[in-house]
Parts: sequence; structure tokens; C-alpha cells
Amino acid sequence: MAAGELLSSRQREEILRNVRLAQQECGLRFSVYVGDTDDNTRGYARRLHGALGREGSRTVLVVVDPERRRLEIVTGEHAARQLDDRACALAGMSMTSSFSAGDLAGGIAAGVVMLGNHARQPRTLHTEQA
Amino acid sequence: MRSLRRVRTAAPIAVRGTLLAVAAVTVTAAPARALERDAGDAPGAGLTVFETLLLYLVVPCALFLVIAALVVGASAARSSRARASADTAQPVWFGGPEEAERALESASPTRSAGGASGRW
Repeated sequence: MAAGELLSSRQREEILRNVRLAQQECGLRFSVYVGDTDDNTRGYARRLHGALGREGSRTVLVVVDPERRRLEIVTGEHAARQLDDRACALAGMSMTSSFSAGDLAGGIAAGVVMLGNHARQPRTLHTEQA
Repeated sequence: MRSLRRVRTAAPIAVRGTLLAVAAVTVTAAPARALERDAGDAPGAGLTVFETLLLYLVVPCALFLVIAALVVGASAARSSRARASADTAQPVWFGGPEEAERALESASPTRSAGGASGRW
């Protein structure tokens, strides 16, 4: 890892791969921001989410600030229907426990997959077909 | 009550184990205290008090301190380096908008957003 970088290129690839995996799994868009925020991390995360524009509604944004040791998960209006806050909190706890063990990239990668799994819509069983 | 009884049976086992260990060490160490020399052995001169202290007290303490310093020093260096890199690191945004800075400037926060917060 070069000096002044939060993630090595291999870690970036791993996160990107898991973002794609989660997107395929549930059809929502996933976005991960790792870097500095401001003192109001939640507000900053919502501004980041707002910057996604029209895509925002069906996007799950994960914001990690390693310096302030904060994690925020923001779900858009459409995404929130598929991924409720409890599932986000659960994935968030799994991620923060990895972060506190010093595994930033691994925690993000696993957390994104977990969010994707939670957001997967169960296949509706149509009774008339039975 | 069951756990109490278990403790009571465990204590004699521990005592017996300790006695067995002491006996084993004594028996195997017997040649070291032998009064008669075996043929061909050549015992060195005894240690002076100063040498004994040096060998069994000073050297182990020094080794302990050196190893402890290495362990603490390595982790301290790593954490300070990580802090330094986090200070200067550029943010990474996977799946972010094109021209993220400009998009962020003109963006309004998402209203009624769900999600979760965490810290560590």
C-alpha cells in the first residue's frame, strides 16, 4: 500500500467485486465511500447520497470515515423498501467489529455482501400456480 | 451442588499431578546431583554469586525487556503510521458520481433516508 492511501489496489478490487456481487444479488445499486467526512457524519453521508442524483433512490450508500471511526449506511427511498434499517444496523455491527479489529477492507467487503443478501427479495410463491 | 462436588474431586487430582511432576523432575535430574562422577565427565568450575545472578537474573530480565520493547514498539509504529496515512489519504468512492466534487457541492442531502449509523 502506497503511503497516504487508505486501501491497496488489491483491497479496492475486492471491494469493487463484492459491490458488483451485491448488486447482482438484489438489483439495488451499492456505493461505498471511504474517506474523510465532517463532524456531522450522518449529514455528510446524506449529502453524499444526494450527490448520486437520480440513481440515489435505489442506491445503498456505505460511508466509512476511518479517521473519526464512524460508519453510516444511507438507503434511498426505493432501496429502503428492500433493505430495512434493522438489516442495515446488523450489517453495520458486523462491519464495525471488523474495523475495530483493524480490518478496514475486509469489513467493507463482507458488509456489502451482507447488505446484498439482506436486500434480496424472496421469490413470491403464487398460490394459483401450486 | 454438582459444581461444588466437582471442585472437591478436582483438587486431589491437581495435588497428585503436582506431586507426580515434582517426582518426575527429581528422578530425571538425579544424575546432576550425583556424588560419584561417571567416567569421562569433566565438570566445570562452579559459578560465583555474581555469575549466577548475571546468568539467571540479569540476562532473562534483559531478554524480557528487549522482547517487550520490540513488541510494543512495532505496534506503536504501525498505529502512528496508519494515523498519518489516514490524515493525508484521499477519499475513495466506489460507485460514486462522475466528477464527485462538483456533484457534492451542488447536492442537497437526501431527505427521509433510511439506514444505520455505527462507530468503533
